Amino acid sequence: MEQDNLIQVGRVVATEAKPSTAYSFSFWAAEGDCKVGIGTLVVVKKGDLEVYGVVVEGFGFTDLNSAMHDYIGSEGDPGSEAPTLRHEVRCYTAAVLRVEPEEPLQPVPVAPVFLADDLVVRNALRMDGFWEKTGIPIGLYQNGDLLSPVYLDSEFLLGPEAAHLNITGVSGLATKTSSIEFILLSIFEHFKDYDDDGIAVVCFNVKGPDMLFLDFPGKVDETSPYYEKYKEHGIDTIDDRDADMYKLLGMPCEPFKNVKYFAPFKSDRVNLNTLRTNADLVGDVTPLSWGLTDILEFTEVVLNRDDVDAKADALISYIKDRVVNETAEVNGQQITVRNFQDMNHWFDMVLKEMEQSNRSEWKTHHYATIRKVYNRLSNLSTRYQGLVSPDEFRSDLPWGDFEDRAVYVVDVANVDPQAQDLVFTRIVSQLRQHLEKGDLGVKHVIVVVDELNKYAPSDGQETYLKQTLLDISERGRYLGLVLFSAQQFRSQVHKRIVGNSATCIYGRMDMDELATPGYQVLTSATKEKLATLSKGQLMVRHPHFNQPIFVKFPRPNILRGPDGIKMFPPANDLPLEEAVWRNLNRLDGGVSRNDVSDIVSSAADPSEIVRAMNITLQRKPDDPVSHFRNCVRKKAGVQMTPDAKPSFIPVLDPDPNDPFQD
Amino acid sequence: MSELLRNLSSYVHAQAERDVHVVLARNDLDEMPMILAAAEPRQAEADLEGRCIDAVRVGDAQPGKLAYFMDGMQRPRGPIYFGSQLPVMYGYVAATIRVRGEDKRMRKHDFIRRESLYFPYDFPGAPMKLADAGFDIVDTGERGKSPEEHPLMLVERAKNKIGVVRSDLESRITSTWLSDFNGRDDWLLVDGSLSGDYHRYDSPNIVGLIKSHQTQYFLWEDQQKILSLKTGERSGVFIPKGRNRPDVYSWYLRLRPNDGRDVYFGLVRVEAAKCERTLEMADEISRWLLAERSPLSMPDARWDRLIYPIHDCELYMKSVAPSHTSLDSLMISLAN
Repeated sequence: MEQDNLIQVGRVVATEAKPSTAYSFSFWAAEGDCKVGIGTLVVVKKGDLEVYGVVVEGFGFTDLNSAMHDYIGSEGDPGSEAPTLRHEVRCYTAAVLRVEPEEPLQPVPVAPVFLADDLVVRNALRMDGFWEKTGIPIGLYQNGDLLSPVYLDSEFLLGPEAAHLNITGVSGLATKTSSIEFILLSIFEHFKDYDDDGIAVVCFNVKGPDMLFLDFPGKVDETSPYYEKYKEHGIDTIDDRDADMYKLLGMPCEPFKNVKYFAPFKSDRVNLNTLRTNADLVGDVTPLSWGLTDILEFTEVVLNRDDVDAKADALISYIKDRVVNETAEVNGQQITVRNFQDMNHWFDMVLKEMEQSNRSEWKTHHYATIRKVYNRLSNLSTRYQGLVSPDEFRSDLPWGDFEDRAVYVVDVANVDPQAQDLVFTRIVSQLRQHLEKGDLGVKHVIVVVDELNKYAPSDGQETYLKQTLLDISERGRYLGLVLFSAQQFRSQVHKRIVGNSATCIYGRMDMDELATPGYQVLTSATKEKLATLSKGQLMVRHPHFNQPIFVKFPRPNILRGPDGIKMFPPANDLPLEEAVWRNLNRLDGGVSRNDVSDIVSSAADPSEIVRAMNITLQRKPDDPVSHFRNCVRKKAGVQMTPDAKPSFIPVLDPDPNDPFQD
Repeated sequence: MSELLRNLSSYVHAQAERDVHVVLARNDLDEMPMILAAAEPRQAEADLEGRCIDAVRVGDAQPGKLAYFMDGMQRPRGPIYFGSQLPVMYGYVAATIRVRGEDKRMRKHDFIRRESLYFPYDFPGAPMKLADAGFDIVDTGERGKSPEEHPLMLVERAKNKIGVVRSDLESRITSTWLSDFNGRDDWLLVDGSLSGDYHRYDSPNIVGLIKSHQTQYFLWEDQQKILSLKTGERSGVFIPKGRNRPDVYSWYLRLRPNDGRDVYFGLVRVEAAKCERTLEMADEISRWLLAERSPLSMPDARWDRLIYPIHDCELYMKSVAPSHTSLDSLMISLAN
């Protein structure tokens, strides 16, 4: 039977034992292939009344009261075939998604039940009110041949009404990374920038090469320069079905167009601490290297809590306010502290002054406190070697110049947890500060964090990172700072973080996880379906949807991390001289190995070469070799960086040979 | 929903003066007249035509040509009193033929129903104006005989009449089938004695299956042989006597072992048209019936004799009949 081209699949049934209510109803379904299953959207029509529902439970039964009756009837022979098949009825329970008209709200009447079509899907999920204006496709609702786009409301995904997205599921099968990549692509394509706000993404790559090839497609055609390479490695992850789904969702089947990669150095400060080090790619990874001023704000993060007592805190505050980037006078000498090397020198001068004057206090700070803080702070550039620069070289995300629809990938997969803490905290803090001031370059930033179980567990000690994530969850949407997070076990993540996620996505789930109290609202059948979801299938909860909805999404046309590593294997760490030559050669193809070799051998120590190389790379001069040469402090005498101001400004007992003298 | 009672309610409420009383007594046994009747065993006769009643082994169960199955139902309600002490009964009767498809599933082939009010026309106070108003009325009086002036007997008579109307309906639906399917390969199994105009056909494909044994056709010695039948054995073919229908051939068949149970457990009586072919096919038809033992008609109490397709007919008719609740509510609305 058809009504308005809808296919009738059943009829509402209400019994005394299982009555219809205003929020749920049962129906029996037609025999045979009626395309009703858990997650199917249906509509009950009676006169002008339309009740939209989603199937959440199913039962099949016959007129048998006991298995014994079937056993006896079959004479105990399972192979025996009776001339008549017992009646078998399939009943389904549906949860009400929407009722039109909304008032009066009454129990669902006994009436025909129809399968949803495109229009019904749109109405059932209340998408009719926003899909054209603020809709972000998250996937397709599938029922047989029907594939209907399902939209999230960007005002509830990215703010200001609500925000944040959390995805959970078992490792490998839940396609958490793929789904986040797809949703980001969808946002970039469909987010309507009515006020020219601009949107960017900051991804923290926390494991392996997951997000290191976002700018490469999962499939290329013969016109691509990488065609042979893809063919050689058998990489072809996008099929026609995916392409068709992209068409239905109104999206180009393409990777991200504007991706910028950042990674700290390894301890040698020459080689980047990332897997994207293949010679073909390493040029587009920007070092993440922070100086003294960058991290002094985060002493609570980088120093042990026990170390920062009230006295130490007072000294650190003094250094922040009165020493760093200020010209201070110590022991009769003036000094300007701009980096760790300067600071170490400042501490030496202070301690020397105290020792010479035989005083136990310096500007009310006790000698022991100064020693302790000196020890802890000076140790930072060693503890965070590769991330924290001891010299004046700094390289950071382009604060103030964030580009619309750009992805900033910060690879912290191989750095230790303390350094990860610092990276997360500082970057999010900077994002928040710039968004508050409105000078970031864009007005919406999505921060993507995986492994939330690790970074924001429900138990365990409070960390600054956890505090940062909580802060984004609770206050970020007002600033345009949105958290997209993922984890294996939602039950083990801090409740306020998942609780503040307006949109929640579930991939294939573990049954143990589903047995936890957080999933009690789901029916057994829905849990069962969650535990057996195939790749590319998700369950979505969104403020506009009264009930969780199952959707399919196409694979993102992005080179998967493991495939990327196969195609672009990471390079071995380069020796210093080779690294310098290669790096300078990228700026100017005419750099000779001999020139580089001469400069390197003339340097006071390797750290000087590293410093000079990084400064040269950052400034991109027309003549890199000369610039590099001038930056290097030589063994026989130290030469200044041509356009760098001296760090030390001795005013007493000036030394005419002091290279830092003005 | 009962259309008749709904219309009756509207009619009653449209009357300026109304004095209606209803009794909501409900006896589910009224819907199963055969079991009710089984409380009264009786002796009848049989004609063996020279054959003996001795047990015959029919062979193994064998799915056959039984494809259509007929059963009927009745649902009496009342009595209702329209301004007098004359009981008026409401009766819903129905008959259906269900067909078993190639996929072994049962579906509707034919279905007829009737709703009527039952009372004696000639009795003082009979609400004949209901007939004038277009309601379907069945006279429970017997021509030439004055009705008993006992209200309970009048109710009983009305209930019996409802059974007669049900039988008529069964006959009608069976006759239609016989007319439509004469000469074809499929067979019809009816619940109970053969009905319809089977006697008009040479060798109609119709079998009756009787589950109750209130009438005993043989004397003690032969009856012992029948009650001693083992599973898969039938009695000799005989012609039951003392009935108002055209002659049929009949035999007893034990469907299930009755060890430790009643002597009638699993015992059915089969009826088929009185023709030469029936004598030839008695074993084969018996084998068809043995095949119908599965699936069981549990949880029905008669599962040892009630074959599943007939159980299906009953289920179908109950599902489309006016529910007890709706009948009660309509009856109450008559009095309010």
